[in-house]
Amino acid sequence: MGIFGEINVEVEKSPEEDRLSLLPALVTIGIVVMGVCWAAFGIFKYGVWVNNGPGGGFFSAVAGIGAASLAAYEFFFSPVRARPIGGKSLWPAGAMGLAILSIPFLGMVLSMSVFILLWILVVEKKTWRQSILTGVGAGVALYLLFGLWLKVPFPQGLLLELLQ
Amino acid sequence: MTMMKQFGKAALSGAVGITLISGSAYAWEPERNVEFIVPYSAGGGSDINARMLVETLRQNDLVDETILVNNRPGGSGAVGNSYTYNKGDDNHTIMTFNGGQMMSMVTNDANVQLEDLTPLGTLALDTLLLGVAADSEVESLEDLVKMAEEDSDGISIGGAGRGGEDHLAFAMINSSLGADFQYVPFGGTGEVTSALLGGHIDAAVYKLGSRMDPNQVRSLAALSEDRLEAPYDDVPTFAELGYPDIQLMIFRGYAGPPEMSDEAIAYWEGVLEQASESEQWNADYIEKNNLIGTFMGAEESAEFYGREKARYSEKFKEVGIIE
Amino acid sequence: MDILQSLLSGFATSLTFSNIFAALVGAGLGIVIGAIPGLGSVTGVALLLPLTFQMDPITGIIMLGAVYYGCMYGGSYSAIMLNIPGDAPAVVTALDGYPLSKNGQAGKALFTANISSFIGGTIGIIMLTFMGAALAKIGLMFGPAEVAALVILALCSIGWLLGDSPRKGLISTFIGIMLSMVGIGLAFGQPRFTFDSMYLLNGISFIPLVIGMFGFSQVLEMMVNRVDAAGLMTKLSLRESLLDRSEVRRIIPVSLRSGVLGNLVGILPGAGATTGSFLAYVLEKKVGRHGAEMGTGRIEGVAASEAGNNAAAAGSFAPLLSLGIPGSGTAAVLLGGLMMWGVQPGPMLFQNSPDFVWGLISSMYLGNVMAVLAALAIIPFLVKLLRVPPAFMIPVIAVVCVVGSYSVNNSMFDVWFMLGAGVIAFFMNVAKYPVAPLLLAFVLTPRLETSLRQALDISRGDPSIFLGSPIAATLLSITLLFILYPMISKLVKASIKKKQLAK
Repeated sequence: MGIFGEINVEVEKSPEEDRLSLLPALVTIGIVVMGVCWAAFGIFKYGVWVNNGPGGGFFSAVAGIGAASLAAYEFFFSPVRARPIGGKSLWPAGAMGLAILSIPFLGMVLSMSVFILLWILVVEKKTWRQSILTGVGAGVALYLLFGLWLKVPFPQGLLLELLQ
Repeated sequence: MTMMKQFGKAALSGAVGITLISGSAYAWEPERNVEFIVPYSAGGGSDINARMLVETLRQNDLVDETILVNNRPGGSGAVGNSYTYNKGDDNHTIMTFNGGQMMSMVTNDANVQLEDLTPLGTLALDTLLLGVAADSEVESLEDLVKMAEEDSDGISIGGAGRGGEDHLAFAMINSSLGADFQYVPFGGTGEVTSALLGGHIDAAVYKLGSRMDPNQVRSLAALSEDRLEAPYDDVPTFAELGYPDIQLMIFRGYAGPPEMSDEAIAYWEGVLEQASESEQWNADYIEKNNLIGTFMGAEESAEFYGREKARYSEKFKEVGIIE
Repeated sequence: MDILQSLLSGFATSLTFSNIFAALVGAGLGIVIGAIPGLGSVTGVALLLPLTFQMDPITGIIMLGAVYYGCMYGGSYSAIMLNIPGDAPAVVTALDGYPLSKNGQAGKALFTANISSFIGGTIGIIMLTFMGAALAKIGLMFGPAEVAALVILALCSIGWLLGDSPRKGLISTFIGIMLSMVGIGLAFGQPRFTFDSMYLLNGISFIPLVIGMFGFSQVLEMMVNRVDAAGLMTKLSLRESLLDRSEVRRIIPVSLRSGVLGNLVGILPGAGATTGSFLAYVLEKKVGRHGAEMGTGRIEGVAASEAGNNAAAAGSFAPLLSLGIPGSGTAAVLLGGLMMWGVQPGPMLFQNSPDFVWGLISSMYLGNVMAVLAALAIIPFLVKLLRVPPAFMIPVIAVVCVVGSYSVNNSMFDVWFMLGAGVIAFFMNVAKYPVAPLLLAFVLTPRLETSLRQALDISRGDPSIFLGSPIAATLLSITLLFILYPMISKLVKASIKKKQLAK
């Protein structure tokens, strides 16, 4: 560790990494903001020292100050090291977000089946047959295991309620 | 055959009239699956209560449709309360409602309050006790107060949770006795017992329903209205010792969404009354969980809850838990 | 001899055909429930409790015991195969389990997990059988001050898991502490960082956080980096998955050490299986021959964690049986079951209902054996499951993350929270912040805060309570030694160097 490690990394840095090092910098800034916020609330609102002992804000203050100062150091003095990654890599989370949004309408089981079906069809470019088999199979398994056996109260969805 | 069986059971519990006309007596009856909300996790006190009630209703054929228990834990009951509240006028939703749940409404200033729910009935009561380890020198409440006056370090009293039943009981004891006790909150009664038996705290408050073993813990006084049954029948109540203000009965009841119809309220009230009279409920739930069996109807429960709620907020204010 | 005789008579009551069958069914169900992320032993036992009311009490408790053990075994599967720990102790298992899986050694990791679970569990049960009452008394000696000292030791040892960039590891630890402060803490009763949301009043729910940070971030990772995903596809034959003799020899001493330590931690009030598996892992990292390589995919790491948490689970039964105090969440649910059968746990239990107690203890041996048999039979099937191509695996894992996080509290809030935690953990992975220290700090800090405050409330603010207790003082000195040791050794080395230079 130490100085030598960091110099080595700089030598290894490829032009591509250089271009995409924005994200880690953003993460670091996010941590600084969170740390400052937690420390401020800990110190001014919840109290660091109460009744001769650590108060409700003690751990937030310590961890907030620690995280903020270390992350600030990281931001200014440590070369950013990151794997090449683009903003596009987040689309699976977006797709899942849409699937979750559809749960109140389609219900948990159907939403998740459709998600699997579309994913395999569109993203993985498999055949219709394979997509439908996996999607329906997963849906049935979900229903049997969670709905029927474990009695997890899944959201039913408007669609099913209308059909009833 | 079923008729005969029902008749036999009803005769045993002495409620012949009600059972014979069951099924046709109600202006409203469930037409589909009933959702039974439990605002706490599976395996907790409210969950056991709900599942035992469902079992009692099923085995005595009191409700024709299926009742599905739905755990909605979070926010010390607030998540379940608000879930039930949002059901609006749904007659097919009921929820367990207990004293602790109402206390957290008060201490957390929750969005959904008692007025936003419809009380349906109360089937069980619990109360609290103050005790010390069985090998302690403290033999009576008097000893404990004396010890508090002499000991400069003060007396520490453990209890489960902060802002709940145990804490409220402590607050009542502390202010009425005029002592300078220190409350130490623990994660559950199990942890309180370990700390008490290990000598880390001087005394503890605990619920009757936690079935504290009299061989391990000597109960000094009970917060009940009347003397408790064995094995706690030799424990005086605070009222007997001259502190009538120190009294707390925690209810275990049920509530529905705010706009539940009057017919549905009458239905659930009737069903609960029949359950409370069944042998199974009394033997398997009340007795085994060391609770005090009772029955209060919808109206009586609403009044009782309202009175208790006012008392809770007054006491919590008095000790500075809320402003 | 008395104990042996009671145990044998216990076996005589428990070893009937219907009981063995109940144990087998329970173990199988438990493994399935435990393997599903989001459902753990508390849910498993709570769900099956009503079912057992119809049974003979001994058969009922045997089935529940088997469910409990099955869950413990199953919990490691998703941690190893998918990097989704099903419960808190499995976070430690994932540290080495998933890297092994990525190297195509999932089978070996699964076998290691099960064999060391069995060893750890057996050690725990044997200690419970012969020293249960004594262990429970030791547990009582741990009040708030002692527990606080123990948790400080555990927290400081996170330092050894920080990975190749200690600064980033430390930042990650601090984030874990900050997140753990959300909600109404037991110690102060004030709502903190809840942003007026009732869903945050009881704090951030651990399982959705873990499923997001480990599991869903993994899904994003696999999409970006299909090379990793290919690792999952490595063709494994069953023979390659079996442990060879030298590997068995490597994990046995680890499991024995971790089992004893885990058991001792398990009996402490409120310490729990996570602290048990974590301290066992850290011990192994310090004293084990290959400690330095742990974290990169060593079967020793899996063995330490699994033996530690199973032994701790058995340990939590000691206070339950001899004092009537549940040592863990699952034990609390079981306590409910015991009371339903009209059994009053407590010091009189051994005298009042010896049949039942010894039946229960013998059922734990039975449950453990059934669970390991069922688990070993399932592994070949699991290994086959890993051959499913990533094109089908990835969307299914994503769905498992959603369903698993929903099932913990039946809450859509938790599902969204999981998704957010997954995205953030993915960013952290990209920026090379390790996630494990975050989760461990998240679990341990609230325990420390509560115990610290309890101790100071008891002493009315006098800090000498930590030094007055021999146990707490010892634990704190060990902690201090651990922190100072690297500095001292550096100083000593430097002075030796100086001397050499002077010459």
